[in-house]
Amino acid sequence: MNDDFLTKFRKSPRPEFAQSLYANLIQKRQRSTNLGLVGRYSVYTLVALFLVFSLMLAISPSVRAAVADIIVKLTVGGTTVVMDDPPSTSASENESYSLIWTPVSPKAIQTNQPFLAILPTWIPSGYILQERAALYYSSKFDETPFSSLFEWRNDSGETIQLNILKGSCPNGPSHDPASGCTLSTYILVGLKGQPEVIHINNRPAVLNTGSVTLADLSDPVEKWNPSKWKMNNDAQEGSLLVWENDGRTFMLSVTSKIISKEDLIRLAESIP
Amino acid sequence: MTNNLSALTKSIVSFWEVDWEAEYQVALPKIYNFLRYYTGDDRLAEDLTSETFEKAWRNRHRYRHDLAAFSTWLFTIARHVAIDYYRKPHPEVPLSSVTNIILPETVEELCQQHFDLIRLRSLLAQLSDRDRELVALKYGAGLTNRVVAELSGLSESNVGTILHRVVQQLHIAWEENP
Repeated sequence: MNDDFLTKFRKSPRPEFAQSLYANLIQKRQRSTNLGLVGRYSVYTLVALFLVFSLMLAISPSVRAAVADIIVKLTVGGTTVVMDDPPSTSASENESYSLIWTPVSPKAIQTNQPFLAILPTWIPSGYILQERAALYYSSKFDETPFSSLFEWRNDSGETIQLNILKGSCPNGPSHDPASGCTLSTYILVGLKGQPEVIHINNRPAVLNTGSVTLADLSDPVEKWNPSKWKMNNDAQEGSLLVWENDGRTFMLSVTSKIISKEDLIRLAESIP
Repeated sequence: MTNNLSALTKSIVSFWEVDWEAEYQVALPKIYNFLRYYTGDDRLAEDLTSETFEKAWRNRHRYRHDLAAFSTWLFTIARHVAIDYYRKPHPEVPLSSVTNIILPETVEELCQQHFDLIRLRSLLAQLSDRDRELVALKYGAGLTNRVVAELSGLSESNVGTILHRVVQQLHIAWEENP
């Protein structure tokens, strides 16, 4: 989409403003900092090395993938999936960050946020609901959570994650009210799979195989980085299923060698 | 190798005070344009930009390089500065009082650009605070969806989805009233 009309109004700060502010800051700096020339040159050298390091990152496929533009838009049955460029031509793992996940137990979510605690009544055997779940806030200033995250794991470490977001047609966060309650979500198309439209309890859903993004809930709580998302774009056994129902949007992510497509649908349809 | 690079990075950032000038040169236009798009007011954007950098300087000891990039930290401060500003009561200023328009070469161009800018500001003003902030971060500051996600607390896919929808709406409105 042409968004030039949004960027063409950028402008440089007035030189007199930039200089005045900088002079003000320098004045403050000189009052509190007095590094010698040796230290200054050392830092410049280090900065140069850092820039080289940044350049190395910038030309790597995974980093390029992070800034890839949208290239495909698929519309089927009222559900629109906006797909990012396939991330890279080799298996890799990326991370993205958002800062406002709050670790809580599933029981606490069920007690305090029942709307976000609607769970499947059937789970493939061997998978155990983990004690660590999470609530997600849209901004630091929100008092109520926007979504919840639950995780099941089996002995082999295979994972099922269920992300429940507030909102469905016509007021969901991923909906465009002006276009007939179209559900839009971004998914990364894997190397080996393609998204397909299926139905969950007679509602359109998008199933994408071969690519899955999981929140990393593995660290100890005191070191937990709830914002760390790991995306494996070559997860041959991974699947992502997105659908909505009754004011909620569900995103079910699975990395498993034993959960079939039928199991995944059964799991999803067991969510009341 | 990775550990060495990590240590190197930390060493560099730990000296960030010395590299203030470089950080300032890079960050100033981004912070300024984020605040311009967010507030729709050039003068106010300058004031809030000053406040952002001064706060950053005062709180530089709080900057944790292991948690966020310096620019991300600056944007976090800028967001708080902008939100704080709007939490305080202020007299309303009509859009027509916009000043400091980019100076083009001809009067005709000046009029058109002035009109376009007011129109864009009017459209942005109709967005929710969250959507306007995302647009300001993405199109004002020119940040990637990933960085916008990091700043806003939204997931990257959410940012992409929301921006896609908002830009569609803005684009339609923009085309409807040329």
